[in-house]
Amino acid sequence: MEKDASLTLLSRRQKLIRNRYILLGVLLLLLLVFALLSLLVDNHGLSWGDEFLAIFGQGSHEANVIIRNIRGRRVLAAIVVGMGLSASGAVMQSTLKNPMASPSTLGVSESATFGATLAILFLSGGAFSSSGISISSPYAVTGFAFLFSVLAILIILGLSKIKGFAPEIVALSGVALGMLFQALTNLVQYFASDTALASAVYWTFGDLTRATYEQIYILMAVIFPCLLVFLLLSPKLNAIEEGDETAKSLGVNVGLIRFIGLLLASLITAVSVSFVGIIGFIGLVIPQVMKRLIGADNRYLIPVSALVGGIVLLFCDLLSRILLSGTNLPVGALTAIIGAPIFIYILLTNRRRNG
Amino acid sequence: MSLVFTNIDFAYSKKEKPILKQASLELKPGRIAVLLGNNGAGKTTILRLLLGLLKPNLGTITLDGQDYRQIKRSQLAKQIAYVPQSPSFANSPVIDAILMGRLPYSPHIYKPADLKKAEEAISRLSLQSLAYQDASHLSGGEKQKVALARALVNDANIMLLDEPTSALDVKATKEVMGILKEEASKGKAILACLHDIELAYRLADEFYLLIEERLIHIPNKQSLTEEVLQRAYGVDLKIKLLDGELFVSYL
Repeated sequence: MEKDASLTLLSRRQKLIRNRYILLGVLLLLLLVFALLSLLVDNHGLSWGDEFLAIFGQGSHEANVIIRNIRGRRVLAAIVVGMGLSASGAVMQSTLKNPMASPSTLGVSESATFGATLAILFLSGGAFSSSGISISSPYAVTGFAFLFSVLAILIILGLSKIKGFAPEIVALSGVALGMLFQALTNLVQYFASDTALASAVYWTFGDLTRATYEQIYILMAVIFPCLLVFLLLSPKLNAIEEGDETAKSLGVNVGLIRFIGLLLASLITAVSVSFVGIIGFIGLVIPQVMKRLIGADNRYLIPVSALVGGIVLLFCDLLSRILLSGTNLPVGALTAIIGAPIFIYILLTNRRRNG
Repeated sequence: MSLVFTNIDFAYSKKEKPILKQASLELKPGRIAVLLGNNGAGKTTILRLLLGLLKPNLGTITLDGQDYRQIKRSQLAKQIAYVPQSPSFANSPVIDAILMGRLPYSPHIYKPADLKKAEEAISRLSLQSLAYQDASHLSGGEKQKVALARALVNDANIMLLDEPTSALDVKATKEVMGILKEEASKGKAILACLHDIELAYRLADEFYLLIEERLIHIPNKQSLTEEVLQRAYGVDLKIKLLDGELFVSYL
């Protein structure tokens, strides 16, 4: 009888794990379907067949240019950045034990914006052209944005080390540093010319078309290995989520794991913001929603959040292209417009449950 | 495997009153020691020192003769299992919360042997019906049982328990006491902080009482007198022995 019960216990666990793999497979399939949709929808008079052939470089010249050079870039950027930001959000929320934590908690987005604004203003990085506002020195702007993001990460992690990476110290220092960089950006913008100011503001809009293929390869080279490290750390992140004392009693070097998690999550944010601007809410909302749906086991939560992050950003990018025909809406704004109501819903339902 | 705590002085900061002065304690294989004392006397602090979560200001802690400072946290986690006073779990199935006790041995993927140990612990604590429920939604008593199950799968030679029965009903308390005695009979060294003196008497082979920063060792049940308990708790109390059970009445 007891043996039967233990068999049931084992088979239920095997079923649970099988279901998890099935869901991961379904999400991967959905990601590919959305990627394909994103490549093919809004065909500008091209035939579906021509567009499809263009994915493999076999379409007409026009289709090849649109699908491979323009849409291919933004699809890849959406997948890589969406996956990176969402997984980073899961890691930040877990390491800081704070549901409000996001990839930008360490003030990375604000510091990147400050760096980009400095470059636009002092290296003449912004310009008006016939097609509107543009960034005339994208490499300098990206470089400065990345430099200042890394600076913010080093300052916060350096300060946090003094207090042994206590989660509340990390989060509050991040908020304070973010506010400092926001104020510095405002101050610098106050003295900027109209052109530079417009370019600086334009830069902050999340825009997936901005990244070149070279930059997307850099994003991949940074983000995918970080995701792998997150997976390796995930059992230890699970222990940290139950409290530092519990994690330490289970042999986890809490300070080191928290340091690695924060460093890599911030690094992902730094490269993403530097190459495509600020994409809000993906890293905050998706891990929260997924945690409520599938539980807090990071071994599973991190890959699921990553895949859903890629799908949602692909979807938002598609919407940004087709909502107003002929105009590309800033995808960063769309993610926030869609994400904010979902987040408020989560907060309200959480309060109801706690109350 | 024995854990020895010698002449320990400890204060949380230089400005604060010391919690422990010249405190010594030894946990021996096969013995259950119970730590008694008032709220805030420093019972949990002693457990934290023994877990290596706090460092003493003075004195030494050794595990089988080896200085704590030379033992890696990952190694210590294989030797000492801990049951916190108010365990909290993430929203994961209970079986996963229990399996986490195998983290020091299987840091990435749990092996079939880990699952077998989890099943055994689930069965011993009658947690079968809860195995796939969300651990974060359990009652306080259920969480204590899950925390004990996690400590059992850890398979450590030493178990430290902070008020392990504070939220348990009578049946579960009896079950847990039986399990602790069984573990001691297998050669484990056990230290439990308890508030319930009658329960402590039933469980313990020896006692440690915290009285004004000092740790007093009571080596056997016979030496646990009214006078000692009155000093430890600062209240007038009477004890009565009936059929080997201790009954306490407060005046």
